[in-house]
Amino acid sequence: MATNCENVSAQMMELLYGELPADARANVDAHVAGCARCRAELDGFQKTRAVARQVLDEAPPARARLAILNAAAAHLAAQAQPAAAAAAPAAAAPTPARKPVVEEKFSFWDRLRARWAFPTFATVGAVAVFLVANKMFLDPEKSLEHRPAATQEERAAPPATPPVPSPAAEPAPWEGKPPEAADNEAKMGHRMPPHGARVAAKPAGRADDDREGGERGAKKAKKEGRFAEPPPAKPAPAPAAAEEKAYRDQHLAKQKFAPPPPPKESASVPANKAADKIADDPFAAGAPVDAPPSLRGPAPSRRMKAPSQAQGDLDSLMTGEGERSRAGGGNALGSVGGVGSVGTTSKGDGYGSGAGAAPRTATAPRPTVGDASRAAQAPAAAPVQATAPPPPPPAPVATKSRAKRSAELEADEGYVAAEPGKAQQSKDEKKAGGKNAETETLLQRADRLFADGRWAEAAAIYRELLRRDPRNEDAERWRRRLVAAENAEVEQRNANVAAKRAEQKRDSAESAAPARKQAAPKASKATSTESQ
Amino acid sequence: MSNDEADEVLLQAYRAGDVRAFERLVARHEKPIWNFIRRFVHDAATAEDLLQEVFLRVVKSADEWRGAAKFSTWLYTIARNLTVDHARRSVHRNAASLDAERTHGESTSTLHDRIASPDRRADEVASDRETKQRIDEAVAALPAEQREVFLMREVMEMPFAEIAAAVGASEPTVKSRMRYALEKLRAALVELGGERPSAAESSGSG
Repeated sequence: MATNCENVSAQMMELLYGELPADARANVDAHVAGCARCRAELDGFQKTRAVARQVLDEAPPARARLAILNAAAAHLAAQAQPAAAAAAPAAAAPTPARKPVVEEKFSFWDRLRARWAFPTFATVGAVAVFLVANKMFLDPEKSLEHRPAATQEERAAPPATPPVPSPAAEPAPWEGKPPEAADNEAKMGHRMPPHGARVAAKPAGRADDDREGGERGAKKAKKEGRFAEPPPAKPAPAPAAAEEKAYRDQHLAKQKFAPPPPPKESASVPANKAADKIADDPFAAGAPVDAPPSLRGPAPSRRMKAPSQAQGDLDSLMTGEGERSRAGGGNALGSVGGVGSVGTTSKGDGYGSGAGAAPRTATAPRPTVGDASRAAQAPAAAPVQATAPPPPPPAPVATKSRAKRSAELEADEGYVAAEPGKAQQSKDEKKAGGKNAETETLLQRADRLFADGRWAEAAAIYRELLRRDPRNEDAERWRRRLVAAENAEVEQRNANVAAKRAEQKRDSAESAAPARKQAAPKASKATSTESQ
Repeated sequence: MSNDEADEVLLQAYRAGDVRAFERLVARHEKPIWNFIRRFVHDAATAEDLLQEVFLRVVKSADEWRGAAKFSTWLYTIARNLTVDHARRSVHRNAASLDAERTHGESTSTLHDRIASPDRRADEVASDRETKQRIDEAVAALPAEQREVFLMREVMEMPFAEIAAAVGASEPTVKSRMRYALEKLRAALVELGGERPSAAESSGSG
């Protein structure tokens, strides 16, 4: 019985509150019925419970319930309000009890939408920006990788492949060379380091569309008696240009300008790559202003980076900033605007638009600058160049092979190389075109600065010229000059940075050496003391 | 409280916009919660605020309740947490200690004196008012962990398992606390009703 009493006492709480299982309950009941002590204990607890329950039955103040209900109703109203506002006209619900259900659901989704709409859009936007940036920043590398292949393609491609003779590529007659020789020279020119082709990234398709303008230019040139004979319709790229190229190739090798030193500053790589990219871009040499956007395709987005970066570089150079200012998003956008508005409007600081419109080219023209004798060898280049009509819509350009384009680009490059000595000629051209004197003086100054290798100043003036007169027939040349100047400047800066780094390295090495020397005696001293 | 399912139905109705459903919920549960709060918070106004706070909490988080637990358990757990937190925060505890002077009541003797006093006459059985007062005092004199278990079990009628979950203790521990609380209250009642303490003690130990 004692164990039973203990068991009952142990299970007293469950027994008291009815939480005993049925079988256990029966055993306990049987024991309690025959055990006075257990029954007394149970009775005592039950009596205590009864009294306690009587005491603990105090009603809360009525105002508390009122306040609670008011708050509950207010909460409901607040929740239903947005939904009610959304479904206001259709709120003529027949059953008042049903209507709030709908409103509640509405309000829930409404809140959900309101809570997630902005984060969702923000995330999507961020991803989009990232993707675009990714493409812009990483694509140039691809173009660099593909570059050597393209060069080989160029070599393989016969120079006569352009189906339509390019008037811009004709100014050979004064050379008196047979077309074969010119072709050979052109091929030689193609062996230039790839970066050379970056200059004057004239779209290949332009050759087709330069027909009329080129003929016009040829006539004009003939009138001025500069051509010994009318330029024969020859499909090959300009022999003169090729000769120029070959000459410059040698010159480059001599001056160790080409190939450009591998950029030691990592930051400079994208710029050059971007320049490559731009050169590859058929539209980079001056996107046709009137071309419908659909024809341009993805070109603007590809071009976004390089011009803006070039702008950043140039600006930082001009302002004497030590560190390259990477083009930010705003800058890039501004440049895109500049690209889009080439020849029509020029917004911003007077630099951005021109830079954005102009193709990035490499150092090619630089060695030719100041080489008066060489410049004099290509007297006809400038006229042809200057009379080139505004670029036509680029639709066919995109289908042209890279090799063809490169060939024509190099031909153009030749003209660029021929430019420096021909400022006067181009001036005449412009006068004939009815351009004002201010532009002339500016152009003269720019050409002089360019010849002197003062890239930043020259680039600034070219930009200004482009801004003032983007439709000028000489604008194409200005753009090439501008880009060439910018690139030259960047390269110069890269070289400076590399030199500075090398100097720092040397300095640090020198400073480290004495430190080691000092440390060595100390160590030996310490070991000697220890041994003692 | 026999129809706990109805609690859930009422809450759904309230979420659907029926305030009267919530009123029924309040009417059903406000008294247990009030009595629980009152045994922890001496000040009536503060207790009232706490009561409102409990139901406001329910109103605000009604959408979060998904029926994983019984509504009453959920509600009382909210009430318990709010009340105990408040009681812990409050610097001045209104709970009477065994040696504290009674602040309301005609007698100036301590609770301990009265419980232990052997010479109380049997005909001095307390009136309802006095019984209530002494039970109040006895409950207030309980340690907080026993008091909350006692109130949750007795007033809120929560099963021991749910109480254990609410207070974060094991079920045997909860039952043990309950037993201690009941014994103390019974002792107070014995003293109040003139019962022989020895009998109560013997029954309690046996």
